[in-house]
Amino acid sequence: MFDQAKSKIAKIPLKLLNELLITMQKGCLCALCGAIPTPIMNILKYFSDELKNDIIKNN
Amino acid sequence: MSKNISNLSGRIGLKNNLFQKLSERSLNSKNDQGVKELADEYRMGISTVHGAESFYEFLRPSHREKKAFVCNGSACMCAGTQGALKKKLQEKLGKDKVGKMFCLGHCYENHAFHYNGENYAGDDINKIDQIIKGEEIKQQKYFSKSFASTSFLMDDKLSNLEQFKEQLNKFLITDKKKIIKSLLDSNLSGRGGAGFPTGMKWDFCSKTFSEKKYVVCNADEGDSGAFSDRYLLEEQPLKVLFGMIICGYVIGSNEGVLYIRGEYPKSIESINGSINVLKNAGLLGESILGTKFSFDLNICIGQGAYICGEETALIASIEGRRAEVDVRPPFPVTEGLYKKPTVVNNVETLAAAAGILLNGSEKFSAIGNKKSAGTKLVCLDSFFNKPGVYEIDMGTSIKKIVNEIGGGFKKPVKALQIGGPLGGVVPLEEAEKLNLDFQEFIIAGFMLGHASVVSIPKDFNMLEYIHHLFEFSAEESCGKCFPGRIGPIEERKCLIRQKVKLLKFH
Repeated sequence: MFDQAKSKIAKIPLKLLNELLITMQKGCLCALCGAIPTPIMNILKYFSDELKNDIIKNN
Repeated sequence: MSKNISNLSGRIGLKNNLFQKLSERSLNSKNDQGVKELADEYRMGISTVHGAESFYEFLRPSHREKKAFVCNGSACMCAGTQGALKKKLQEKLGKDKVGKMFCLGHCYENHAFHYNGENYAGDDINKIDQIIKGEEIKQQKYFSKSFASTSFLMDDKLSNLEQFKEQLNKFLITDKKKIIKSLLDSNLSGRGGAGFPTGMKWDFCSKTFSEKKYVVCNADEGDSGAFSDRYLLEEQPLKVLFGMIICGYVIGSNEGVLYIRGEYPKSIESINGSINVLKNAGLLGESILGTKFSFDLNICIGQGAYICGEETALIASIEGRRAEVDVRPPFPVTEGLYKKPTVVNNVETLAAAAGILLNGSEKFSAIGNKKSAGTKLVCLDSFFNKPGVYEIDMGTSIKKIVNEIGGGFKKPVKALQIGGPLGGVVPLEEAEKLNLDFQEFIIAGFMLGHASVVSIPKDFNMLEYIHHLFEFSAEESCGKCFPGRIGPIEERKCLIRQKVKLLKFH
């Protein structure tokens, strides 16, 4: 999955990252992995300008 | 399977708990010597004991051959002090002798490192020669002050033995239902992060029928940026222990344990000292103060696993299993330590419970609102002009905390991570709209958690910060559930690729 993303373009695939984060948020047993998406999603939401060169929206 | 192990471990019990035994064995020998004997003693397989042992970072040979450990918590990372510190230590001790530990609770001064069982921070690195020689050096303390309208956690109502005895005398003849009622009336919710009403937890456990029950104090404060539990354990140990004894009295338990993380050697020392003082004064042990109530306390020293802050993992750890999270329900109040009803409370919750009993529940519930009542300890890191731990009324605006109590920032800051590595990253302008309130934070998409504040400076790369968070969760995930085991590692890989690319192009 990641190799494919890599061979296309080596940026962070946002859609995939979001899916992973939501899976973790919903599917984890406890708060450690279930809540770690919170700060990441906050950063993606509020600091998208800073990250725009490192991310591709569609993958 | 784990039920069997819990019961086998419970056969020997808390006093000689398997976790402490296997830590001692591992720390005192270089090979597998004694594993078989230990497994035989507890009637378990060698693989079970070995499996548990290999879970903990401090017990691994790769960790034990290091001499000093540099703090790699978020606060120290944002302050950017650790690279130079690591270099200095490597020069003194050898290149491969410096490891890392996650947050030593010195977020207010940074430059934190652990050497030979002690924590050092701030200017201490300049005295490294003295430290290596084994001389004792004078260390700076954190600043603490109460800004609360009534202080519940920082007052001196339980600071000496006489006060402790007087209050215990009073409460051990008070009706248990009355104590639960006053906790329920106070609207105290758990301070560890989940925020479950404490009165309800004690009530549930007191109503569960069992010959044996346990009180567990969760002092595994791994959240980077937080040192409020450390403050309570070191400065208000009697308040925490008072909370535990009263909890034991209310739920009908005669044994309790404090699970203190190994990164806090001073806290362990302080609590150990207080327990001994109480035992000598007859305030712990058999029939306390001539009543029928007996209560004993033990300490478990954590071995560097962040996950042990989660209650079911903490219980598994004490039992000597791998510290993996269990599915809830059953909740610990019905099936906890050694499968017996157990109350697991955070340090601050227990201290607050003691504070409420001493000061009255109406005063506590009068502050804040129903779901976020009373006072809360808030930790501010070194980016503030006045770093330290403060007791603050719930409902106080974050603007006031940042500008008045914290005295503003030393350097430009763009965001605050509030509530440890799992809490939200709040941009400064958003933070100024919020108040110190659990619900308000959740509605805005953040989490108040432990109310520790780590400042992210303006020039800090956010990609780097995301990478730090994934690295942390990949390292500390217990590996029990599938998304938690795979997720952080895959995400980290994805980021590493991007980072490598950035390096190539710059």
